[in-house]
Amino acid sequence: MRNVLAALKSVRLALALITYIVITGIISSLVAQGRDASYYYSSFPAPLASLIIATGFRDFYGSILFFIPAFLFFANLSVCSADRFARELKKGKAGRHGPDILHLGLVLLLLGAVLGQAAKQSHPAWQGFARLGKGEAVELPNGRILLLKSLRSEKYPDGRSKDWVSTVEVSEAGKVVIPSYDIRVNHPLRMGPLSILQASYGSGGVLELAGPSDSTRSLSIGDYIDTGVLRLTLLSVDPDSGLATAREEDEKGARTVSLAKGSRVGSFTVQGSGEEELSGLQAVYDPYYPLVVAAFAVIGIGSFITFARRFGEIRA
Amino acid sequence: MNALPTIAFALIILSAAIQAPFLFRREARPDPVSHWALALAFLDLAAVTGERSVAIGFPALTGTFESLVFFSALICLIAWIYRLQRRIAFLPLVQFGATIIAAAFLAVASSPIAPRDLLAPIPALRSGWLVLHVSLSFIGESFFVASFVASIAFLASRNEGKKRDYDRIAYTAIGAGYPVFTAGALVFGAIWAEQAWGSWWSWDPKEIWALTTWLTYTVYLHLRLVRKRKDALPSMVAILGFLCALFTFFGVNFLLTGLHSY
Repeated sequence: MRNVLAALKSVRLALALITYIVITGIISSLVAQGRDASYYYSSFPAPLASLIIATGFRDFYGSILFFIPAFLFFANLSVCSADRFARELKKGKAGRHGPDILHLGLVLLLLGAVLGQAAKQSHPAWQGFARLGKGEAVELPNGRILLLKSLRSEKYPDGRSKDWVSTVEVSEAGKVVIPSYDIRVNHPLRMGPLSILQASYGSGGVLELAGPSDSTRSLSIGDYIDTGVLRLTLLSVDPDSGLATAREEDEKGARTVSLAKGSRVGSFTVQGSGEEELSGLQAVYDPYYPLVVAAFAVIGIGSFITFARRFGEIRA
Repeated sequence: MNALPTIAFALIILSAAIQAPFLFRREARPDPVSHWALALAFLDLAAVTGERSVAIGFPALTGTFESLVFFSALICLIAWIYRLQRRIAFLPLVQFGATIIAAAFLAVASSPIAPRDLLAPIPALRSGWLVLHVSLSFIGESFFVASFVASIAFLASRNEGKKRDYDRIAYTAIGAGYPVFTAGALVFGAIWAEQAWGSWWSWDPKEIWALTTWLTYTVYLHLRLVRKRKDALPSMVAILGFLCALFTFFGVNFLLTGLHSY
């Protein structure tokens, strides 16, 4: 046990692991990641392609080639930091803990990264993407309802996009919990472990339907209505002809239909079609967000103490 | 205003031309004026950045041309500051090397690979974190320029006294640049990425190479501070670190693809 600890707190091991991570990291950036086996056989000589596939190098950061050294590095950093902290404490030199604080920050950062990744993988339903038009709502993974009250695309004078803004309202069990919040690019909405980001902005086809007793429905691409007798899903809208293409499903089966103004869909009548602006909102789940932010703060404090002290020594 | 980068380039070349004869003198005494030409070049390039920032309504750091202008300006500034301070000997060879590197970056900025189009940033780039990320990364890398030149001089020199001075310059430059680079390239970069894309880290080629650069300088600091090595190895690692930084900037942009546009 003592030998294992001695090996783990060795700076030589740290240097060897960093060197390994640097070299393999460089190679991984030169070898395309996450492609099919056929890509590697067509890009590299067969023995090299076989090696890349067999070792898992085509998904380097998800392979044991990375995980084992990264885990060893984490252990090395933790043991090294604890050992150094204990030694400095014995010496009674309180001002020399800068590197310990810096290393603690790195340990917290690695922990936050690993736990965050694990949480994302164990909660796939908490991540997602939705394209919403004005007035549309979506149920969030935490059970709340997000309603897009308005959206706008801000432009530069030359017509290029400057910012995309989605004004949303969030409610829970029929009660409004966030009356109004502007989600912008680089300015997400945070609700505990869940963040809603402004990911994209664009336009898409929309089909206007008039229902019984003067009710109206507006369908975006991918939306559907279910009359009880049939289900109609809007597939596309041709902005030039105004013709919409939809998938109709009833007890006789499913078929693709073309809809023009005046077409009947069960008890609904097509009133027209057009284009609407859509906001692309992305849900991201990361319960360890505060841990990562805290790690960055600890790294900052540790760096400041370490390097300020070094410069103090140089000046002296 | 289009002449400003050319004027800055001329000032940097003038500075190098003044410095060159002093390199061959026996005593390591620098010339008395060349650093003022560098200070003027810095002001000139700062004016270029300022003028473009006003024109696009955002700090002009988001294009290749703008980044290179900013980087050259910082190298000139740091060479000037080093030359003025008295605590660490800033030997003529190091100042000359830094001047040549500033000129080289500005030459690349004037080439077709760095278009000068005045384009305001896309929505994802409009972030205060991005400004901190880019500016602090370049400030850190500007110190790495001094360490790179000093490390080459260390390896080339046979004079023990000069070697000690070169080692001191390399060590202090990395000591100053490393925390700034850490904050800029890694911490603020990750914070911006999380806000823009919802992920702190994406193993994008630019991120991998920035991490590689950081780890290389981490190795340098551990060799120099923990293992107390003052031989050729830390210098070789410092040279490798700067080559990694160069590849992060140029190689990744032009040879690899990823999320970063510059």
